[in-house]
Amino acid sequence: MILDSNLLENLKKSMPSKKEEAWKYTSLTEFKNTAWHFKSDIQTHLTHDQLHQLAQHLPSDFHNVVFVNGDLNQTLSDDLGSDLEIQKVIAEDLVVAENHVEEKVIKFANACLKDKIVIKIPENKIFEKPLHLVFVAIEKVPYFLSQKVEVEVGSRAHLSLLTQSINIDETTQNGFNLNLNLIVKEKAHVKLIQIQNENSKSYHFSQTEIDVLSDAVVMAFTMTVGGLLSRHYMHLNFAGQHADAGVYGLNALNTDQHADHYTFIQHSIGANNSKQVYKSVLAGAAHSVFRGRVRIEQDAQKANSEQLNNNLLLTREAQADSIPQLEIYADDVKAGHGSTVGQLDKDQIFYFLSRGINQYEAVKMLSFGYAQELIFQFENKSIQNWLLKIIHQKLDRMVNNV
Amino acid sequence: MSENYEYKYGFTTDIESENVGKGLNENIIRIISAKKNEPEWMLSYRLKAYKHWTTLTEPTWAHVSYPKIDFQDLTYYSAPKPKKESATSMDEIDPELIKTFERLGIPLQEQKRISGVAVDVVFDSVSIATTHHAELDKVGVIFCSISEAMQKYPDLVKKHLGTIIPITDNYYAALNAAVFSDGSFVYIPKGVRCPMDLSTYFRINAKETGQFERTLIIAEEGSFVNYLEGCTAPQRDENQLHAAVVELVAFDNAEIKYSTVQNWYSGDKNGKGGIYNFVTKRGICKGVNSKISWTQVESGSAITWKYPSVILQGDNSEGAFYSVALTHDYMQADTGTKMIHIGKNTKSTIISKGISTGHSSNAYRGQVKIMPTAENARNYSQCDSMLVGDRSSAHTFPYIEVKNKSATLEHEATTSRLSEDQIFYLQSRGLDSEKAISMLVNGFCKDVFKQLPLEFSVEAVKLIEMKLENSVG
Repeated sequence: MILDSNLLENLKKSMPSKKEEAWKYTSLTEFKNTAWHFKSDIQTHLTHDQLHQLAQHLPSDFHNVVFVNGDLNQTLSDDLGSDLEIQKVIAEDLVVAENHVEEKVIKFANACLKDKIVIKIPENKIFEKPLHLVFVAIEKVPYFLSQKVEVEVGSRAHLSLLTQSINIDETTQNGFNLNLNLIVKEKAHVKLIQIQNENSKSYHFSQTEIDVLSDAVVMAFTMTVGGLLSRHYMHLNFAGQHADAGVYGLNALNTDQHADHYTFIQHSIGANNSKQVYKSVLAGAAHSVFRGRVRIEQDAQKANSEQLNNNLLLTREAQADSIPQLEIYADDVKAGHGSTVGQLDKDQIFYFLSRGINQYEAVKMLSFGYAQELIFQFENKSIQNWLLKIIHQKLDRMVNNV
Repeated sequence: MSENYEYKYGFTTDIESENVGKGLNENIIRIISAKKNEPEWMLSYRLKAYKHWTTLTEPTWAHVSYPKIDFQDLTYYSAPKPKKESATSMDEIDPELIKTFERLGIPLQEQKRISGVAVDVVFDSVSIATTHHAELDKVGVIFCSISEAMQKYPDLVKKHLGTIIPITDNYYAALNAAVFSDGSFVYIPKGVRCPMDLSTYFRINAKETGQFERTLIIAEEGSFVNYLEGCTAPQRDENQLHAAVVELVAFDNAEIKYSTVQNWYSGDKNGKGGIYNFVTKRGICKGVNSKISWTQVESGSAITWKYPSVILQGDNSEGAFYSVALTHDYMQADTGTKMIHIGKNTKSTIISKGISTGHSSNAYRGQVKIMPTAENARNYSQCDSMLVGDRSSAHTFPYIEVKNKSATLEHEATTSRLSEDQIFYLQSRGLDSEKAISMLVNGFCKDVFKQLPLEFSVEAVKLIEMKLENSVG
C-alpha cells in the first residue's frame, strides 16, 4: 500500500485543536509541528542487542505476539499453536462515524494504516495464559506507527488481553495510534489491559471501542506511565442485558507528561452495570485530564452506573482537570459520580516519620498504596506482578525527583 | 383544570405602554439612552457593547434546543405610559399597575406592608417604584433603580458597572449591556448591616418584548445585605426573551446573600410559549474574608441558561451556590455555577438539586477552577438529580480544574428516581401519593430551602408543591 504523503500532511494539520470542547485541555500543536515519517522502507532487522532489550518486555508466563514496525516478528513471538488464530488483513474501506469526537485522529491514523490484526476467540474457549500484543517502533526518525486490532470473543469464552507499544530507545520520538475494537459475546469474560509505557518524547493515541453483549463480564484497564502526551478514548456500549463492565485507569505521571482520558460509557439498552475508577498520581508539571461521559438511554431502565475520579497531586506544578458527565434519559436507574483532587495526608506522613521511616519512603509507600488498589483487582498473579513491576519503577522515579 | 390555575401569574395588565418599536440597531440604543437621559459615557458604553455583540454568534454549548431567535423581531424597550409627566410619589403611579402588583402579592403602598422588606419593582423595561426610602436613607443605604442611580450617583455606577461582567463576556451579556433599560442598584456603605432585606420584583407584561435588566450591588467594607429577587410573566404563546445581568462586588469582610425565586411563565403543557431566561450573574469577593452566596429556586421559564458565579479574589473569601431547579412538561434547564479560586484559603460550596418531571430536561453545568495562587483552596460540590417519570432526563456536566496541589476538592453527583419504597412507606402511613411525593421532593431540596430567608423559603416550598401537583399524578 502506498501512502499519500500530501493527504497525510493535511490530515495531520487538521488534527483537533483546543477550540474543540472535547480537546479543551489537550494541545496538539507540537504534534502537528513534528515532521512525522509514516512508512518504514527498511527491511526490519533486529540486532542482537535489540532482541535482548525487547525480550525484557516479554514475560515468560504470557503468550507474547510481537509486531515490529507493524510486521509480525516470528523470532520474538511465542508459538500459539492451533488454539489461537491471529490474522493480518488489508485494512480497507474504513469508515469513521460522523461527529465522532476522535474523528480527526482516526482519519489520520487510518490513512497511515497498513493492515489490521483480527483475532477471533471461538465459543467456549478458555485461555488461562494472557495474550500480550507488543507493538515496537524501531526507526531512528520520528515515526508514526498506526495499528488497528479487531477482537471478537465468542460466547462463554475467556480471554485476558494485554497491549503495549515500545520504542527501541529512550531518545527517539515516536507516535503511536492503537485502534482497538472488541466485541464481547454472551457470557464471555474478558480482561483488557492497555499499558502505555513509552519513552518521554512519544505521543500516544488510542481509541478503544467495546461492545458488551448479554451476561458478559468485562474489565478494561489502561495504565499510563509513559509518553509525552497521550490521549485515550474509551467507548463501551452495552448491547444486551445483565452484563457487568468495569473500566479503570491509572496515571502515574511526572515531568511534562500529559495524559487525557475520554471515556464514554453508553447504556443503550438493558439493565447493565458499569463501574469506572480513574486514578492519577501526578508529580513534576504533569497534567491529567479525565472526561468521563455516562449516557443512559431511555431503553436502559434499571441500569446502574458508578464513576469515580481521584487525583493525587505531589507537586505544586502538577495539574488535574476532571469533567465527569452524566446524561440520563431513563428514570429507573442509579447513577453517580465522584471526583476528588488533593494531596497526601500530612498526618499519614507524620505517622510514617514517627515510626522512623523517612519522608521519601513515606511518600513512595503512600503513593504506591494509592495506586495499587486498581491492580489488585486482577486475580491472575502474572498480570498482577507485571503491572506492579511497571508502576513500582515509575513511582520510584517520580518520588525521587519530588 | 383551567390553565390559569396552573400558572396563576399568567394574566396581562391592560395598560398603555410606549415602546420603541421592533428591531435592534444603533439608533434604538441612542433612543433608549436618550429616554433615560443618560450621560455620554453610558451611551458610548452601550454602543461599544452593541458593536461587539454584532461580531458574536449565539452560544450553542448548553444542553437545550430551541428555534433560532430573531433578534430583530423583538422590542427592546417598553414602558408603561406615565399618567403625568413624572411620578414623584406613590400616589401618582397608575392604579392599574398597583393592582397588578397586588395580584402578584407585592403591595407597593408602604402602609399596607407587613413584612419589612424594601421592594424595587421592574415592569417590562422600567423600574416602577422603590419603597422604604426613608429608613434606608438613615443608614446611608442606596437602593434605587439603576437609571436613577445613573443620574444621582454616576461615579459609583461608572466605577463598577461592567467590571465583573465585561461586555465581552458572552453573547447575552453584550446584548444586555447594549440595550438594558432598568434594574436595581444597591450600595451598602462601610460597616453597615442593611436594616431590612432588599427585594426586586420583575414582571414582563408587554408582548414580544425582551426584558434586559441590570442589577449592580456594591457592599463596602464590613457591610451585609440580604437581597431577594422574584419574577413572573403573563402566559403567551410566543416565547419571550429575558437576558439579565447581575453584578455583585463584596469588599473586605463584606457579605452579600442573593436569593432568587424564578417563576417566569414556562410554556403550556405542550411546550408552547414561555420565557427564554438567559441570564449572566456573577459576584466578586474582592476583599479579604468577604462572602457571596447565591441561592436560587428555578421553577419557571421554558429555557433556563443561568450560571451565577463567584470570583474568589480576596484571601479567605467564601462563595456558595445553592440551587433547586424543577423542570416540568417541556421545560429545559441548563444551570449551575462557576467558582474561580484566586485568593489564599478560599472556600466554595455548591449544592445543586435538580428535579425533572414530564418531558423536561434538567442539566447541571458547573466549573470549579483552582488557580496556582489559590493556596489551600477548598471546594465541596454536591449535585443530585431526581427523575420523576420516564420521559424526563437529567444531566450533570461539572468541570474541575486544579492548578494548585494544596487544594482539596470533592465533587459528588447522583441521579436516581423517586424511590417507590419511600412512597409506599408514606402511603402506608396514610398519606396520599401526591402528598408523599411532595414531601419527598421537599426533603430532597431541604439543604437549599434552608438557605432562603423565611418568607422566601415558605414561598419556595409552596411553589414546588404547586408545580408538582400539576406535573405528577
